[in-house]
Amino acid sequence: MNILYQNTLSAILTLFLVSCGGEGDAKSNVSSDSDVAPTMVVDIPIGTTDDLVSNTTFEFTNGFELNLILSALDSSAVSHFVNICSDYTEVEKVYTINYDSCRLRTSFTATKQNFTLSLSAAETELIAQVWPIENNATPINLFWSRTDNLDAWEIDINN
Amino acid sequence: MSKFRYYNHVFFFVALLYCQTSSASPFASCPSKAFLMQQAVAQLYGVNLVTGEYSLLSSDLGTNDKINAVGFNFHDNYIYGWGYEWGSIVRIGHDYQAEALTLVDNPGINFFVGDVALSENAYYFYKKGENYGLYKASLDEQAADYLKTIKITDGSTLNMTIFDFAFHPSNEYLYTVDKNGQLFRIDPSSGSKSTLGNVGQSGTFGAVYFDVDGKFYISRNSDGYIFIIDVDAINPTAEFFAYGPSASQNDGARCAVAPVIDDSVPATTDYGDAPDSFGTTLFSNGARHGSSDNYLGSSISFEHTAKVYPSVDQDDGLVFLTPLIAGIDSLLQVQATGSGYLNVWGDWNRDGIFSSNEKLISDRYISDATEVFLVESPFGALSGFTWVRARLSSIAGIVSYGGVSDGEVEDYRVLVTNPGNSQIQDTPFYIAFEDRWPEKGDYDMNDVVIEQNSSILLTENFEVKQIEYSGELKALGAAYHSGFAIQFDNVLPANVDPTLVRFEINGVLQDISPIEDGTEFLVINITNDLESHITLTQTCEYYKTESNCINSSFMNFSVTVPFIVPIAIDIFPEAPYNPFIFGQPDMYHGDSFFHPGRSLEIHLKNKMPTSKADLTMFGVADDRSNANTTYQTSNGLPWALAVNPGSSEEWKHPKERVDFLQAYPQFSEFVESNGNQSSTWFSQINSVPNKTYNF
Repeated sequence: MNILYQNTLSAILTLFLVSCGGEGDAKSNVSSDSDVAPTMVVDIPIGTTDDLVSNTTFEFTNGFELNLILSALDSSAVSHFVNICSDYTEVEKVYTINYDSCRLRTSFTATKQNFTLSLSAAETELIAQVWPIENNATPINLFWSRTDNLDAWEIDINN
Repeated sequence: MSKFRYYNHVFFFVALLYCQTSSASPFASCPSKAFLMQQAVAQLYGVNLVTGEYSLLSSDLGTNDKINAVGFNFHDNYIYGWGYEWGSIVRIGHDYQAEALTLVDNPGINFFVGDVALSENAYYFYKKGENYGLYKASLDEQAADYLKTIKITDGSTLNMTIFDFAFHPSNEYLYTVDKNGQLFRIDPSSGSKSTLGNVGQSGTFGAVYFDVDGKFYISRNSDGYIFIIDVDAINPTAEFFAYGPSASQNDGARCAVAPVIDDSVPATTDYGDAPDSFGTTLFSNGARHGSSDNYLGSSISFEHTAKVYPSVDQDDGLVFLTPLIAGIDSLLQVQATGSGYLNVWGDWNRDGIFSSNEKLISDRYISDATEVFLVESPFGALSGFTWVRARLSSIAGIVSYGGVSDGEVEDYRVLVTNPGNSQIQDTPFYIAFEDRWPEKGDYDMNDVVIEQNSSILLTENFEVKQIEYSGELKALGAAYHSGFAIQFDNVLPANVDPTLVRFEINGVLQDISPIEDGTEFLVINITNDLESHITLTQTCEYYKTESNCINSSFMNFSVTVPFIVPIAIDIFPEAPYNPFIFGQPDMYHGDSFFHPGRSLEIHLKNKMPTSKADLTMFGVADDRSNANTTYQTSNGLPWALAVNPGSSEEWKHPKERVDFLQAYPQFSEFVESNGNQSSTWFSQINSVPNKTYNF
C-alpha cells in the first residue's frame, strides 16, 4: 500500500501525539478531508508508520558497492599513494578534499589490488587523488561518477 | 656623615623640590596584565602572562632615569616604584607619569627590589648589605606615619642576592628566587626568611609576580623565559611557562588579586584542542599563543579558555595527504600565513604525552606559503589513531607546551599505519533506536541516536588486522536508561588481546576494557548507561530531541581493536556491523519485563542477538522475532535503523514524538519498494525541517 497516496493534497491536523520518548505509543490520527478549505492546506505529508508494511527480509539499508582496481605500479616508478574520497570541492581546478570522507587510503604496489568499497546512496561521485611520495609533490586527480552506471573503477597511473 | 652621603642628601633634597606634584588618576581597576619596567630610561610594558605577549604602554614616564622595585597597590590602584631620578618612591597612575613622593627618613640609596603589600597599605623595599636591609613605608595618606620609612631588618641578617620580590595574594609573605634558584619566603613583619628549596633554574629573575591563585611567576632577564612555581609544593620547582621579553634590566609588578585571564575583554589567546593530557588548557600549562599576524592556515581563532577534545577548534593549517606510515615517508601539507618556525610533535607510543623526542618536524622555517613536506614517523610508532601537534612561532626551538607571544597551535587526530597497510573507511552510519521493544513505541526513532564511524586496516594480504570504531551520541530521547554496545558477528573474542585494546570516552583513555566477557562473538560494550555521560538541562526533558533544546554536553567514544590473527576481509562482517542497545541492570524498562537489564537487547532488523540476550523475550507484545527474522513487528518494521547519508551532510533525527514518516515522507516509498526507490530519503532536502531536530 502506498500510504502517501492517501492524502498528499489534504490538510493534516497532527493532533497531540501523546506518546513521548520511550513512554507511550499512541499515534496521531490521520485525517483526510477533501472539503477542507484551500487556505487550510499545509505542505505536510500524511501518514504514520502505523500503516507502513515492510518485507520481512528487507533490512532498511541501501547503498552501492564499487569494485575498485588499482593497477600494478612499475617497479621503477616512485612510490605512489592514493586517497579515494567522496567529499570534495573544486575551485578553478584546485580540489579541496575532506579527508574524513576518504573510503580508501593505500599505496600502489607491484601487484594489482582489488577493493570493494561500500558507498552511501548519497555518494555518487568520487575523487582519486594520487600522490607521488616525494618533496613538493603534486597530485593526479581522477574521478568516478555513479551516473556512468559503472560498478567497477580501474585506476592505472603507469600511462 | 660622610661627604658622599652629605652630597647625596643634598641631591635628593634638591631633586624633590622639583618633583612633580600633580596627581594623576589611579588605574580604573586591578588589571590582569602584569607590568614590566625596563630600560635605563624607564619604559613600561604590559605583559600577558598567559602567552608572554607584551606591548609598550609608555616610553615616557616623565623621567630620564630608571624606575625599579615596582609594585601594584591593590588599595589605591596605583603603581609604586623607586625613581632613580629622585632617589625616592614614585607613584604612577593611569597616565603613566611618575610622580615622586617624599619619604621621611629616606635611606639615601636607590633600590631595585620592592613591592606593595596586600594586607596593609604599605610599600616594602630591600637592598642587601649591612648598611641597608628591608624597609617599609606607609602609603596610607590618612595615616600618621604616611611615607615614613621604617627599617625592619638589616641587609646582613636578611642576606639575599635577589632582584625582585612579590607579596603572596593571601598569606601575607613575600617570595623571591635568588640568582642560584633558591626560593625564599620572607616574613615582612620580622624580616626573617625561610628557604623553601632550589627551583632548578638560575639567573637574574628581575620580575616576579603572583596570580590570584597563589601561583608564582618568575621572569628571567637573559632570555625572557617565564617560569611558574607552586610555592606550596613540598619541592617547589620552576616549570617553564611562557616565552616573555628579555632585557638587561627588568622589574615587574602585578595586581596579585587579579586572575591571569581577563574575560571582560575579547580573547587574544589561541589554544590547542587535544586531550588535556597533552597539555592543552592553561591549568595544564598547555600550548598557547598570543595574537599576531603569523599563523597556520588562513585563519585563527582565539579563546579565553581552551577547548578540549572532543570540543574542537576549526584547524586549517595542516593536511595529512597520506596517513603517517611508520618507518617510511609520508606527505604532509602545511599552509602558513606570515612566517615562523614550524615544529610538529606526534604521540608515537600513544601514552597521551608529547615527549621532546617525539618530533615529526623541527624548526622548519616557512613564510607565506603552502608546502608539501616528506615526513617520516618512527618505525616503532604504534598503528591506529594518535595525536599530532603543530606550532608556528617566530621563536625557534619552542616546546610542545607553554605560552608563546605569537603564532598558532593546531592539534590533529591522525592515523598511523604500517607499510603495506590499506585503510578502508566505512561510510558514517547514524544508528537510530526505538527503545520500547518489544512494544512498538512512538516511532520517532530518537530514543538513542549514535553516529558511528569505523575503519579497518588491511594487511597486504587483504586481512583485517585492526578495526577502529568510534561514535558520538546524537540524541537521547528516552525515558529508559540504556547501554550501548556493538557485536562483530562471527569474530571470536579470543582473537583479541584486551590489554591491547584502546578505549577512549571524550578523548580520555579508559582503564576498563570494553571487551565484554562471556559472549560467543566479539562484543564491545561502550557504556552501560548512555545517560550517565550527558547532562540534561533544566528546561529539557531529553537530550537533543526537543525544539530549542540545545545541550552543550556531549559523549563520544573510540575503540581500537587489533586482532591477534588477522581475519580475511571476505569473512569479516560488514558495516554497520551489529550495534545494539540494552537495558541497564536493575532499572525499569517497560511493563513487558521486570528489570530485564543486560538480557534485553534491541538490534537492527534481522541482526543476531548476542549470547547474553534472553531469547524468551522474542514474540512478546509487538515483536515478531523468530530464529531467522529478528527485531521486527508484524508489519516488518524495525526498532533500529542504520542511516548512511555519506560524509557531506549530517542526518537529522526526528524531533520528540514526531512519527518517523512525518519527518521523512519518502521513507514509505523506500520501504515499500524494498529500497529500490527514494534511495536518498534520508537527505536533508527530503526531510520536513520543522519535524527534525536542527539545533
